[in-house]
Amino acid sequence: MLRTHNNVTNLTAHAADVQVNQHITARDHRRQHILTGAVSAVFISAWLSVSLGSYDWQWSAIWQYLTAEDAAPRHVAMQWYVLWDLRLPRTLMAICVGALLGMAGCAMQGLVRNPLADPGLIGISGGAAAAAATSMAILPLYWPGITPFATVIAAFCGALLTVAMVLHMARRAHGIAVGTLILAGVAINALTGTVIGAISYLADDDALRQISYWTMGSLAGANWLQVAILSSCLAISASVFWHCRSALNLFALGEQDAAYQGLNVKRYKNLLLWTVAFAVALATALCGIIGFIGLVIPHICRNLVGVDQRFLMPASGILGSVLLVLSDCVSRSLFSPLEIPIGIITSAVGAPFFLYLLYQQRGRIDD
Amino acid sequence: MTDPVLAIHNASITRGNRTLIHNLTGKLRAGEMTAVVGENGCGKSTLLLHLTGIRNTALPVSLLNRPLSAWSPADMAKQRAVMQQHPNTPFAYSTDEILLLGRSLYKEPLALRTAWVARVAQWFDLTHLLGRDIQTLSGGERQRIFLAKAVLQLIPEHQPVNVTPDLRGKLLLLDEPTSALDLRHQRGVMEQLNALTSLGLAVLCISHDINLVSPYCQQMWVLGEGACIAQGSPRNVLTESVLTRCYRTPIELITRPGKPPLVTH
Repeated sequence: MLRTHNNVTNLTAHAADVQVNQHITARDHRRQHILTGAVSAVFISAWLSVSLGSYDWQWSAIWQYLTAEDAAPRHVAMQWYVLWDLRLPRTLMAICVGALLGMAGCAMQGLVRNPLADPGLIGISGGAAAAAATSMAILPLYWPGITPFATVIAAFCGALLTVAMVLHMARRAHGIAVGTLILAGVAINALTGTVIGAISYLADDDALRQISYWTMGSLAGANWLQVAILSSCLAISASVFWHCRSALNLFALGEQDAAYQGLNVKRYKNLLLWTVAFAVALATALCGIIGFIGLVIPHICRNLVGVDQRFLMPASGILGSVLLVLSDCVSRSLFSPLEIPIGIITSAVGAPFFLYLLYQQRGRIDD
Repeated sequence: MTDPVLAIHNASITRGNRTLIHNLTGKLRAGEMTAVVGENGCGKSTLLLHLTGIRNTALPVSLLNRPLSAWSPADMAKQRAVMQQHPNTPFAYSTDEILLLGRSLYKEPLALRTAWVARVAQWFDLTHLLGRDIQTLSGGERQRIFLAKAVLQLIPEHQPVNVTPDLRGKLLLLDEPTSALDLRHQRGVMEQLNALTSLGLAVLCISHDINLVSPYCQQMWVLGEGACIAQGSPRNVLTESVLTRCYRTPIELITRPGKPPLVTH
């Protein structure tokens, strides 16, 4: 107690200070090591991804191509093409999209204080996809040639609109009601499914192919332009999420408590929601619906590095990349040369995982 | 320091179209503990919520002579801390991470933060719980962790850990901080809060345990009947007529020498 502020207790108090400090520092170091390990996992999985496929390429051929003074021989040029124009952009795209979805999931779960809040589950990806599908089918009729940009913007608006709708419905005086949030997500997903269904029924063949490509998600057709867009989007969202790390830690104790601690709750909440919508919309606009990454990854990361957002947020980004790159490898090689849409792989893993989480949380999901 | 830390001047608090508290005037002074008592639903927590300043109210309440609305959230958080009634988190934070969050406003080296975490943990008998998962703690242990977090929020920035902090002008708002505590920790927490008030801290404490708080508080506010029924020192306030009006049930007082009377029914 306070009145024992004399020399004797000061000594023991000092020993306790040192012990607590050592404990905390050692734990931080352990978590940093895990993060380093996760980064190397990104490199290993990326290596696997560029070397895997129906066409083999050799380092020697790449070297030959780069050092050739004249036009390289045909088989060498082919190998270069496979690596540089097909595999590498695809792998990088998987890394960016995985990181975006992992971090968006982490931010969303922290914001609404529930480990079940996945951006896909509460309808954000669905909203983005429905808006994108609408724009793909309808806009070219009026403005031919506008599609690529319009799609991204439409997906973004769709994502924002669903976030606003879902959160408005689930808002209560004391915070966000998670049961309602997930039910609203179910309703939104049903609605967007209907919209996409109706549009694909009416759309012409070309639009139809694009739309079905969206709803299941795919990284095929990745190119360097998309990689450039996604990586700059990743840089922006990652810095925003990193900026919000202590805000997210405070949110974990409830919005009211965060406000008592001097956090500008409204500002950070809006910032996080906009960034989540931005990240998910862009990922969805370019790769379609890839579900459950945002649900599974933060959960795994909490078991690895704990719940402190200083470590959880980067871990979610890094492991999100690893998971998506590996899923892409599976989608390409399971029935090679046929490709399974990557959204099917992630859902096949994620949906049972969601059931498992629900089972674990029995009785805890209520308003 | 004669100016009050928090001054309420003729404030009326309503919820919906019901007036919970009509024309409340009161002052929380440095070095004083004020207990707020009253029956369930009489507006104690609503009053506390309005005093925290996070609601955008036009209530005539001023913190250190400045209206609440004139404070920025961050400046205010350095001056007043709040402990809610049922603090919890859905994630498995460890207890020391929760306590460190209490220092998140301040830009200090980690060593100083952890030193204060260790010190305040010791004050509230929490040292053996450091490093534990907050979700595995009992209700009373969790309550003490969040109380310690609120106290940590008020330790001045860059305060050396071996110098007794000056807490004049700081305000601690507590909503039933002892409701889940055992007898030993009830007493330990009250003794500790008392020690902190001797450093200048002003405390407002909502409680249903009149007998626990009355020996420690300098002021007592009894709420009921849509107003503040009585204000003053526990000895003056704790009378049968006041308490019977407040709780609408027969109350018996047992006088004892040197202390406020025991309240029973």
